[in-house]
Amino acid sequence: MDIIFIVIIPFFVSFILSLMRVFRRNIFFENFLSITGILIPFLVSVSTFSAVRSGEIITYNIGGWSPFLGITLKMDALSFFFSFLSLTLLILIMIYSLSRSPEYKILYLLMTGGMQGILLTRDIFNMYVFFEILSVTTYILVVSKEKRSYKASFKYLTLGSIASVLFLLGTGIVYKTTGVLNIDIISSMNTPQLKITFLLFLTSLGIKSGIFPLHFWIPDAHSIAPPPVSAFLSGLVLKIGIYSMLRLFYTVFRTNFFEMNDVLIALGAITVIFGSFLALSQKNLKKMLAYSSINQIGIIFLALSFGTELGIIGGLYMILAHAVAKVCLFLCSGMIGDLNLLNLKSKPFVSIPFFIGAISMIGLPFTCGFIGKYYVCLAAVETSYTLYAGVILFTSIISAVYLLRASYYLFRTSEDYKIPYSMRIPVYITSSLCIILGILPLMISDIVELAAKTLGGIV
Amino acid sequence: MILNGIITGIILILIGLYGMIAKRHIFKIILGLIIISTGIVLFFVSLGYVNNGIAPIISGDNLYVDPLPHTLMLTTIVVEVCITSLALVLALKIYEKYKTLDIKILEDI
Repeated sequence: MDIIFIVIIPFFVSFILSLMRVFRRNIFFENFLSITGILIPFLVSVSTFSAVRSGEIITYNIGGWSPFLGITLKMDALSFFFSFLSLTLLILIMIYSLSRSPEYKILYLLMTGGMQGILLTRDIFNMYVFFEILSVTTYILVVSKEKRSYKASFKYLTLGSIASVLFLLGTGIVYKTTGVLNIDIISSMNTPQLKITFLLFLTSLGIKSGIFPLHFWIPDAHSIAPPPVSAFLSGLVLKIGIYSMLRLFYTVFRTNFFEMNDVLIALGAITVIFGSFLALSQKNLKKMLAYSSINQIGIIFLALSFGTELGIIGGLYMILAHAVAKVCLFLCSGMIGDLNLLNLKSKPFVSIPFFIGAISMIGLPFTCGFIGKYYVCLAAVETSYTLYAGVILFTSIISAVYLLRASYYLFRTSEDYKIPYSMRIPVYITSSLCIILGILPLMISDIVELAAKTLGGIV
Repeated sequence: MILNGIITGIILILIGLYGMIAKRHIFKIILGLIIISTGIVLFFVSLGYVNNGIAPIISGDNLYVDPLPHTLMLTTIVVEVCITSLALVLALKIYEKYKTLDIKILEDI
């Protein structure tokens, strides 16, 4: 099947689901549809694996128009990495949240389609449109029964729309300068004069992924949202901002990006320190996890700003590790009654996956996070930014303090409470993925290295 | 002429940004959002303007305006309508729950 199906199947299924609201609710059929709506894109994405691994780039021109005029979808190693990772986790989160309302599933599928669209498209304006689909659905999904969620959602909406306006303004200037919107064609022209545009895109994507001065919406939105929503907001939606940065900064704004290297590395380091200290001071479990994702995003941003191939490899491993572990931790937090740190109580089937996710976030050996942090520190030493390797290791100790403290409290058993198996299995799978990917990183190393090579470092 | 359109667009964007940052009332923040999107539309439409250009129906060697920014703006207008309506719904809900629309008061609750 063509790669366009990765994008349109979720949209189509969510349309059918919304039509089904007319009839009496059939829960089995609804669940079946919402799982297949993500499973088919997943299978299409897997089917491209062998071609992508051999270095081929799968292209699809929408409507048969040439890349100059129309929209091009392309699947290369970087897109495959993100698309495969996000679809795997999205299926698991969907299974976790099957008991939710049909509206949730409709919005969730729309969000899936938007996310895959960003990952595949090579047209800047099209990327903006998919970003809007992703953001508008997440603004709505953040809202829950809780009173404060409306405030959090409004704050998220305000900042998100400022971010997209800046993105659009940047797109306009790029179009005026080059005359095309296709990323590949623009990057083949040498355009070092796009400095202001680079800053616009940096601010916009910085808001979307939560880099230091622009991070303040994260704790609100991520801690008040329902648990599965916080899982994909923190694990995947932040990473989509990072993906667009990788895609645009290493191709279109290459020269501007490497000129500002030092500033960006320093920003990343501030994000790392800031996030970990604030996470340490939190009293609510979900708020603590939200601040710890600021910390991890900082490490990823730091690694990608080094600009070397090793740095990109480390950043991609960190993205993988953080996505899997954070989804696991947030899904665990959905099974705990009282989220105040001192009152945490659970059963072993919650606390053991939580513990595994926590040690992967800290970066102990034999977990996925270890490989990520190892490569990032190696890249820091290689580019003689040894201080930043120290920063990462120091904040690892701080994250060990707050995450292990939380899992220590979690090991206190509480009285019986019932959790359905559809909620337990995703947690088991994500926590075992943390270990499996840590012991056998070879499964994905080909794709990660190929992705780093296609972007290329400083030459 | 073209310079005027672009500059006016950017001034509108800045006015809107000021409104979103400086105003305390949620409805005024939403108004700032609307002004920003108007500025963006004006900015883009002016990008495609060609002096003495005609409608983009290609016949002979006539100068014609660039139609692409205009088509892009149709999409943007739709997106902005979605965001504005969602923001208004959220403002209504916030008023229902808290009986106020003042950001400073809302922050303390």
